Amino acid sequence: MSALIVTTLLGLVLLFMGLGNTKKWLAPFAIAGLAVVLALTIADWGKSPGAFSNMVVFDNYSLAFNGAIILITMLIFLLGIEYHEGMEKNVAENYALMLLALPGAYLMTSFTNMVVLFIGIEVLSIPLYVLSGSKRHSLRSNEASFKYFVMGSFASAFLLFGITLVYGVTASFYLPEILEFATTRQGELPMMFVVGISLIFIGMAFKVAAAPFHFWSPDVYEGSPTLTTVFMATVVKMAAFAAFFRIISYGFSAFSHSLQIMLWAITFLTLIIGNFSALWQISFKRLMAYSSIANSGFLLLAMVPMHQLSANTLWYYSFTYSLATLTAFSVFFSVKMASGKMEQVEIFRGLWKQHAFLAFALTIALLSLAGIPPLAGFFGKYFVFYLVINTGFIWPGIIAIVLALVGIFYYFNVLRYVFGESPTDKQIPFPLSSTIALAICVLLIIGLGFFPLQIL
Amino acid sequence: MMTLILIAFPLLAGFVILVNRNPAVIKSLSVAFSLMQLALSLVVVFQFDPLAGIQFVFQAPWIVQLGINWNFGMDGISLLMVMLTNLLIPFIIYSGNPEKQQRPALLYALIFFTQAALIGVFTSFNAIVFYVFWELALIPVFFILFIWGGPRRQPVTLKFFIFTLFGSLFMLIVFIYLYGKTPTHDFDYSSFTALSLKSPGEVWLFFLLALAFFIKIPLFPGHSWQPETYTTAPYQGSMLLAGLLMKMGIYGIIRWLIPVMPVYTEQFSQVIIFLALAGMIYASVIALRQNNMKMLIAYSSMAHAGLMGAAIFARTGIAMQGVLFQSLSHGILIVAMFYFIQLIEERTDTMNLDKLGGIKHAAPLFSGLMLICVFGTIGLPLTNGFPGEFLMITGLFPGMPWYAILGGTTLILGAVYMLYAYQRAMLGESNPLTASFSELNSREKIMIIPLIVLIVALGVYPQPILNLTDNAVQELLNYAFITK
Repeated sequence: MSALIVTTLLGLVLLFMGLGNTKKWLAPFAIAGLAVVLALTIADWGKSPGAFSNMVVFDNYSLAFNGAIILITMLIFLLGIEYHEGMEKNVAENYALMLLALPGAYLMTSFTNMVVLFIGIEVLSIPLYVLSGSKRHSLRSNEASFKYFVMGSFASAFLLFGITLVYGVTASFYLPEILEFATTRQGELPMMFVVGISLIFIGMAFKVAAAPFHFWSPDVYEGSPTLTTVFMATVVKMAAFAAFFRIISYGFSAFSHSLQIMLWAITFLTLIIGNFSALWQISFKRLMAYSSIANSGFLLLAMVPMHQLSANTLWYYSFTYSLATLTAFSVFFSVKMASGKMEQVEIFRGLWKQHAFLAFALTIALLSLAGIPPLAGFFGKYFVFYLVINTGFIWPGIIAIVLALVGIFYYFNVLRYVFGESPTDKQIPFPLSSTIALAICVLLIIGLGFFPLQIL
Repeated sequence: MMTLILIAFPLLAGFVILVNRNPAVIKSLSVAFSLMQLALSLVVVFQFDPLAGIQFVFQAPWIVQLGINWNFGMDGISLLMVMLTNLLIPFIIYSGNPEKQQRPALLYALIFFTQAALIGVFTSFNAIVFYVFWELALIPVFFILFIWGGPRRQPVTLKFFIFTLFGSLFMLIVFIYLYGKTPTHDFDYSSFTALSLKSPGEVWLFFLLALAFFIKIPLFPGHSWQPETYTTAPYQGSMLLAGLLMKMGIYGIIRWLIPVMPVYTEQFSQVIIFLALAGMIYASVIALRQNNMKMLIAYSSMAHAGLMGAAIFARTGIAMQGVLFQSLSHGILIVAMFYFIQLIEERTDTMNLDKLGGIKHAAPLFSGLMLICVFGTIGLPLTNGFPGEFLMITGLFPGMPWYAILGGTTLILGAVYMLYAYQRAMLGESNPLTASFSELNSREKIMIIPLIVLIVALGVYPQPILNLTDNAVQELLNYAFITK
């Protein structure tokens, strides 16, 4: 709870720091503040404090996700130093809005009450609508913001409608009470309840960009400023999945066969559409957007079978995915700046000769995303396959593995450029702050591969 | 502990190499490190007791909840493969010329990483650890081919990568499934071999696992990546692929396929032997028509792999011994063979047999030594190619004489295409391109002569190698027949 309050205050302080000439202090201050928040989060470990008459419970599940989210945000801020280098105005707002979105993420990981889920999603989303449109004079940015806003509201409406229907049947917003209702009426669930839950699932599927509700995500990823895209692909994704699994872990889908089928269908559609669409992308940002959809598929695959390992897999997978995505985007940003703001995959051509460290970091990130051992991404995928096969779903496991193989194609396509011959020798400036962030990411990707954490 | 050192040393060596910039230093350091590694493994050989089971065991917990533990050790079969790796890497390193290669530090570091991963593959007794090293061996080789390969390297290398990864991911599925079946819920070798899978409903496990190894070797029908990849790869990459990575597949079948699924192996051994021999004939016939020497060696290697594959599934002690011996000698021969071709290409700028001829007149020593190597490849007595092939054919005889006869006659095909190619390149009239062919210099002799000595010595006196693996093979056969 204290973490939530401190983060909010930190966001407000940063907002007001923007009034003075304090640009170079913004990032260090925000990172230091987040370090305190991280410490507060870790201090709560194992205590499961609840708040607001237990509408939120900060159990280990929620704390693990919050910790990962805070860490990723710190790394994003570290990269932000370079990113905001050339910008004069509105830098403080960028940091402040991201910080103000975080409490929403905390609520999404820790709710036990559906209303809190809705509030969390809105608190997280509204700053992001602004951030994705923060390049005011860019047409693409405006488009992205508008699209994100319309689609996001649409999803929220679905979610809200679902919550209302479930309330109408069960007379409660509390997940445990809803569960109790479902258990006592086993086999005889009213239609309204099933429809309500499925609407909630659809709303969540929108948020995690699962097919067939994914259409907004490539456009929004492409149009938003890069730093915002990174935030969306990492922090928002983790929070949304944490929330999705919190609902699923109560096992409503197990009561209704049709819900079960719906989830499996969403999972495989996401896997197939994400992986195959990524094959044809020329723009790196769109490629990463489809890769994000594909990874959503694997994350769904981790939670739909409801194995005892699901929670841990979800956490580990989304965390390592975020690290790799962060690395890839940060390399992309530097190379993009050195290549006249082009965004095609081609800009990586000959990177290994221009900047060996960047090439190495990108290679590690892509190998991890492709799931090559012993990097962290491998164990993420391994856990997913492990729990799918061990809950008896062998065919889904085999199909998923084949789709993972498709993923190798597009990740390695990028590597083809990285290790290709380059026509020009461009200088890629890469400041110390970003180097530190990148080094931390790479070390974590390698380290988590050797010590795949089992904390949940 | 010794096993761990053997894995860690090349890894460290790789990192040390990585920070160097001077090509000469890189080369001498790499050679020195690889020789030190060879010396280390000789120490292991002398401490090794051929009559005991798995030795030099190292165990430690890794991901305990999931039954994944570090579990290394060596029996005779592992040790033979480890020796092969450590023996070939110094030659592979020495054969390169860092002055002319771009980014030599990275290249030699990658070779060392491959070595570390290979030793991991050959010594792990936990399925997931095995799998991790198996994939790990692929990564550095992929980059060696991807960066230093010839024209069209990128699509070709990607095809190779996707093929092998395709196989190995199925291996992962099988391992996870088997894990679910073990009563103790772990990935250890001993738990897997205790499973004794019998039910017809689980035959798919056998096919998926076999596919992974067949693609790696490659055996028909998983072979289509091989000729192009061998040809496009840089010479050191081809040596790694043909000399060492291929043996991973052989080792995989011996270690993880047959003992874990003996019943299915028995059911399908006839079919597989037939396929392997068919692949052997197919490869030999194509080899006859090749003008490109590298391509020729690629197909000849595929033919050898076919015979080895057939002999493994004969499931007799003699055949198994033959396979293991042949793994060693094929590695030595193929490295020598690729080196000769490399020298020819360096001197004449071509690999096309039509443009060569008469090299013998300009360089008698070169041609003479190459002839020994060619003899080895076709399995002439007193070269190291002979004992392996002899044992394999003999081992095939008891159960299936017709297959043995088929395999034996196919060896003649090998002699035909190798000698025909040798004749076209070395004998006959010399042309302007080959008239000035320079003789082996001292630097090249340092590489070639030890290889030739090995070829002859192992051919004359193969017994020590056979003693090394004898006990392990017997134990393996016990596994393979215990469920009968």
